[in-house]
Amino acid sequence: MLLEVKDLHASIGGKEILKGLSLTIKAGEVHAIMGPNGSGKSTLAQILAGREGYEVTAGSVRYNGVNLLDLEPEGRAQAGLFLGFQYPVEIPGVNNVYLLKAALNARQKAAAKPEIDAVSFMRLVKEKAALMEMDQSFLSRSVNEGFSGGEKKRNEIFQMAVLEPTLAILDETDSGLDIDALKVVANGVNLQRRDDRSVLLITHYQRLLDYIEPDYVHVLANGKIIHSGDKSLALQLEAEGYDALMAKAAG
Amino acid sequence: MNLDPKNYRAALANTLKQDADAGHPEWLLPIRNKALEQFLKQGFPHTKLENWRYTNLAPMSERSNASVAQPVAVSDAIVPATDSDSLMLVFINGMFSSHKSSHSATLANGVVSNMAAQLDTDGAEDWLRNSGDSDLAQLNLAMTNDGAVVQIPDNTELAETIHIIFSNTAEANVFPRVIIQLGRNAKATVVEHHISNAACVSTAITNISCGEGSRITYQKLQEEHAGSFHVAAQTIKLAKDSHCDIVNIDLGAAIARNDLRILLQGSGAAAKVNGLFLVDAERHADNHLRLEHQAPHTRSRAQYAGVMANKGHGVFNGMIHVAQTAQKTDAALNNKNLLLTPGAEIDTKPELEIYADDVKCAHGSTTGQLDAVSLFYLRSRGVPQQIARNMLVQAFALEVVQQLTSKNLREYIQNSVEQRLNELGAVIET
Repeated sequence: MLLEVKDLHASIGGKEILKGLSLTIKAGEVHAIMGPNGSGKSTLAQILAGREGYEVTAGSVRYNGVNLLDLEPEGRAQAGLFLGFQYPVEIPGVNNVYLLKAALNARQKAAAKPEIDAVSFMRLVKEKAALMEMDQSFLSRSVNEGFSGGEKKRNEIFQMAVLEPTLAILDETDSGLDIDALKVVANGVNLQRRDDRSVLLITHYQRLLDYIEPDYVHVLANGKIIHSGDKSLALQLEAEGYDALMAKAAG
Repeated sequence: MNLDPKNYRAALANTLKQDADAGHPEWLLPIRNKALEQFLKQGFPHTKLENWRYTNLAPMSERSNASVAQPVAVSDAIVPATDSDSLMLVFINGMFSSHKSSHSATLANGVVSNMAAQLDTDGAEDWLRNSGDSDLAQLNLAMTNDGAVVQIPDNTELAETIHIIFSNTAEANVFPRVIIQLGRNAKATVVEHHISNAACVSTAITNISCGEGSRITYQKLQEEHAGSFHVAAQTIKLAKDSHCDIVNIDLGAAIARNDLRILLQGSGAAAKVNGLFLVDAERHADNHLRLEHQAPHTRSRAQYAGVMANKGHGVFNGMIHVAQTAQKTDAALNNKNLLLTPGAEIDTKPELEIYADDVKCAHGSTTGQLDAVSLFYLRSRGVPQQIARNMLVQAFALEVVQQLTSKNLREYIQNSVEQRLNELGAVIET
């Protein structure tokens, strides 16, 4: 079991968003979570990554057997978690590549390994940049500075490609992408797929799932997963919308 | 703040004896005497003066009082490395060290030298006497042992950077002095670096005069010992079409005060100022800037960045003064501040005094904390909290640090900032 979320209840500012969410992801699996706006999809992603401000009132999250909620955000990342942000922030003055080097070295240090050498690192970075069809000029720029929405999303997947996480949580990575960018991003994700790595795709639209084929699709509504199925569920939702399923869950 | 005149007069007597022993000109004696008496009448500035409202110099005056007449023992001085092609003038506890300095520049009719060696030259009395009108200028004039004199002739561009280092190793009073004079169309880059490994009391005065069309790049770095007191003032006079590019970085001292006064006296004169101050523990750093637009078509841009942590206290007062005759002045002044912990404090006051009616003037000040979203983003990639915080602080300071012309110096300052941030530990608030 890579990720085991059991009956998770979480609030922010006194308002309960997750109302008993349960989810299990095994190594090597790709899961998609879909759902109406305000259902708690991003909240789930943020809580798994360790964003402050949320209060977990009940339930548990275990990652490779470890209590994930006990770890600091950097600890979770060093343990192999990655969050692709829905709205990646711009950080002027912090170089894109410098961030990645610091991140990689932090992971090396956590695994009691030596720091990555400069030559290998640049080779890795250039290889992944080419894979993500990113201009080499971005290497000298600050994190997301001056990037369009699509470029920011591509940068998220580029970072993921460099960091090689065991669980990548991608929060609406497809929003704002044109078809070509979507293909590049999807390719980046697919190339990552391995028996020991999993992906959790949070998405609004079925389109992404044409390119990244999920093993399981879940519907998150009103803070809980109300229905799960295989990839055909996504097509069903596209055709029928969420209302029918939500009515069934309520009734 | 009761000064004991006895101590200061005894100290002056020592200084006068040193003058005599060194064969310095006689005109020094009455100048020094008069300056000391004037200082004793004024005393150290106190907090009832508007300009000193937030900065209490009582601890400095106490230490100064106690140690001014003490002899100074020289021990291992820190002499920071500089670019290999720079011209170094090194002063240890206020005394010139020819041994640690590099050979003087061979300039046709120009001078890059320690002050004591120039006292016999024409015009020396003028430039020595002119210590400016800052609050401790008279004390410096009375007591200054040595400093740097840089005179660049007309139409001369000095390629090498002049690196003036004031390194202090004792809990003693020092009175550094720097005189820079650029002729018409002259160009020079000067770094003035203050560093100490003991709690010294430094009263530093720098005067820069720029001839028509000249260009001065002046970068002051202050890294005094955490127990030191450092009060410095620079006066820069800009003639027609001359430009100054100034960087002022304050990283050390228990109490640091820097008064920068720029007089744009000729039309077409321009000033660019970038300042950075980092105050942690219970330290105090006060930056006063005065941009005086006295002629038409003059331009100034000033940006100061402050980083405060623990119980650090930063003070910034930036004034743009535009005289009635200074039409078409274009001036902008900004102060941005970062508070890293509760308990950190900044008092910031940008001011405009405008007497002309066809001008463009802007001023602003912002104060905030580290962006929580940015911090989380970095941490979510695995960057540990302390390193993530350091990265964001370096990013905040980068705009100023980037203005340093020497790559080595940029790295040096970034390392210095990094070191201080690491000493802060993992305490941050978001």
